[in-house]
Amino acid sequence: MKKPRNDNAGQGASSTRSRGSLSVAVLATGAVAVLLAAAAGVAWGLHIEAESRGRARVQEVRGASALVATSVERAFRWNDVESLTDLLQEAATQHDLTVCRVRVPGEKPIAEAGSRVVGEIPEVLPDEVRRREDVSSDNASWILPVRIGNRGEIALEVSAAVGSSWTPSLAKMGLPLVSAIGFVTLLAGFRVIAKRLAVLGTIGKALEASRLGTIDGQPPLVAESLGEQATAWNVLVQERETYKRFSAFKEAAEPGRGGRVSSDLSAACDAMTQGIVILDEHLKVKYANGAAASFLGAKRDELVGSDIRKYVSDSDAIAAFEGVVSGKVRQRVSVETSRVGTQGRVMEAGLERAASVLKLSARPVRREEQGVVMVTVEDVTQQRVADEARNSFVAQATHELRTPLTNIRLYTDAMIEDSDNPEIRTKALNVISSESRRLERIVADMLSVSEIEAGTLKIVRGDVRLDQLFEELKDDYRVQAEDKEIAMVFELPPKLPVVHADRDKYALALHNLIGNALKYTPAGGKVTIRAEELPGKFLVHVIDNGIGIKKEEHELVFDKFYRAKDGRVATLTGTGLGLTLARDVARMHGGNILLDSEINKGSKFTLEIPLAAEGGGARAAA
Amino acid sequence: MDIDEQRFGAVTVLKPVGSLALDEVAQFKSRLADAMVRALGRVVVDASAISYVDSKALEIMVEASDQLAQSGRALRLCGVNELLREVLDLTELAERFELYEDASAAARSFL
Repeated sequence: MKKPRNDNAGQGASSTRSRGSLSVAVLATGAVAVLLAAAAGVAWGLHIEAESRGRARVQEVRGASALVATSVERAFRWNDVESLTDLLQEAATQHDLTVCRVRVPGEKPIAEAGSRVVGEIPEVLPDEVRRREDVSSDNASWILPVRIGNRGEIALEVSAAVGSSWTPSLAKMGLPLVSAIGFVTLLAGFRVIAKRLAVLGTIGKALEASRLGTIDGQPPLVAESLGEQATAWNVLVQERETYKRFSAFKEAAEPGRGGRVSSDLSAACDAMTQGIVILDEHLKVKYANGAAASFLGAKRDELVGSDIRKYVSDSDAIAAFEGVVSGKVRQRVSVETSRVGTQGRVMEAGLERAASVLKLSARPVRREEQGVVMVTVEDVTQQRVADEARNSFVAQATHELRTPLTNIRLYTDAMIEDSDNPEIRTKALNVISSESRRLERIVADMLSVSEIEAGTLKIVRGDVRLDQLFEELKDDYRVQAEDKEIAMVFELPPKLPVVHADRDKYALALHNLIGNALKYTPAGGKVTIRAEELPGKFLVHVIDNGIGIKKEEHELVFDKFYRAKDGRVATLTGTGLGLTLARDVARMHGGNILLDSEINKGSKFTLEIPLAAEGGGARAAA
Repeated sequence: MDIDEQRFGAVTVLKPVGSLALDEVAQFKSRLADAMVRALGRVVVDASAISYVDSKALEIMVEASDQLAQSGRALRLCGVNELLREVLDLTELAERFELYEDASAAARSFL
């Protein structure tokens, strides 16, 4: 790699110089063209001039010849033959004639320029000599008749060179010379320009490749011998390479900034179920991931750049953000709130958002620097609901367990004090027995609920004879119904199916339904247990004419630990688990529990037991 | 078609009963969208009582899942029966959802 020239002054000078040499080339070409044109013009002019000179000479010689002919005729008239030679000689010298003589055509000359010999005039002369004129491009000759008295005519022959022989030869020699010089100059000029063009071509290709993005690696370098432009280009290319290497180095040194790493990081943030918001010192959102936008009820591009206070209205949360921004708080601050989301959007959708609890945690992004805050947003609603349920479960369970235990303790004490009285003894034992059964059921309920919670409640299917199940229920509740003076009626079809299900779970569900009916029906009331078989399902209705349930609480009574908001309910003990359990059991079997009730009129709970596809399977006699 | 709505704590479980196709799809779509807004995406679709699904219904579920994917989640389905599982496998859409055995398992996944 050639060493790049880095000094700017040098580059400036070289560019000026190269521009100079380029214009020299252009000037030289122009000069050659002008020269060639001038040469052609001169040649043409010379040619024209030569032609006109030729014509003038012909005129001159013609005139001179006529004059000489007259003089010769006079000389012969005066018989002054001696002066004839002088006359011819003088004319030849004066007019630059090549031939100037007098003779009878075809004979020896009588007198001639350049010769002192004078011949005799022959005795017999031709009567007439024909006048002739021959003019060619470079020579002209005339034959003029000269009258010799009455004897006849002789001929004056004159001949002269008329063309200027030097002019065309100069032109012939000069033109190729001028052309040769022009061609050489042109060739030299072209070579200079071709060099420049080669450089420009290479650079042009590299630029085009860079525009199309097809360039890989380094753009081509240009041989520096091609001139200053080539050097300048090479310097540019090398500077680009250096910059590329430097930025690659920077990227490697700072992962998370720029390039693929950053796009991976941003995709990873979007894949998180936790919301991440980064705030600047004015509490404006600098970054928000997808989950954050969804939790704050905003579009992501709206969120970025706007004030976080538009989306979080909880004052504690805002105070926490401000504390972190100002640098007063260096630790993580967490606030749980349900006051988030744009009110406008919720209104627009015509929906009221169920109370969701979001946990917002703020902490400075860099401990040592203040101003940039990272806020994580978590949806903790389900956790809070579960916590609440657990707490209320413990409270309810304690209360539920304490009541039968108190009864058992009281009756045990009574027996100890008065152990001889058989009446008290019998009553005490009965109470202890029923209270311990109640305890057992409560514990079973609690276990089932916790199993459902933990997902470990499993259905163990076997053949369940519904007729047997109803018999047991009759026995279990007869005494209780009689005690409370409630008429308990079983309206069962003569034949009951055998279902493939978990017997204990169905028993639990029916215990809860019938137990509730007896519990919430005042003395003198009536509880009916009616069963019917429909295609594909078997229904058990538990109908009472007790206190009933308000319409708006129909769904809520199935919620865990929910107890109807009715003064009469509060006086009775209950865990709030019974219906939850019963419906879970029904649903685990693929059935359901439906409720139809009117306040103060009574309730009707319907347990749906799905039957096998063949329509109930085996039958058992009632 | 009925759409049964259950609450498991703060989780809404939608259980369409019957065939989920044609005109019933619009109802399902609006119920699902409502539930997603109300419960901040804590929604489960209980598919145990779906007897038939058409492509439109699948599309709605995929759309809901894509919407949840923007916040790193997916639509949770539970009780997926033989038929629906086959449809999901054939259309290669199964991995677009989170599948759970039953509603309580799905609800627990929000803890």
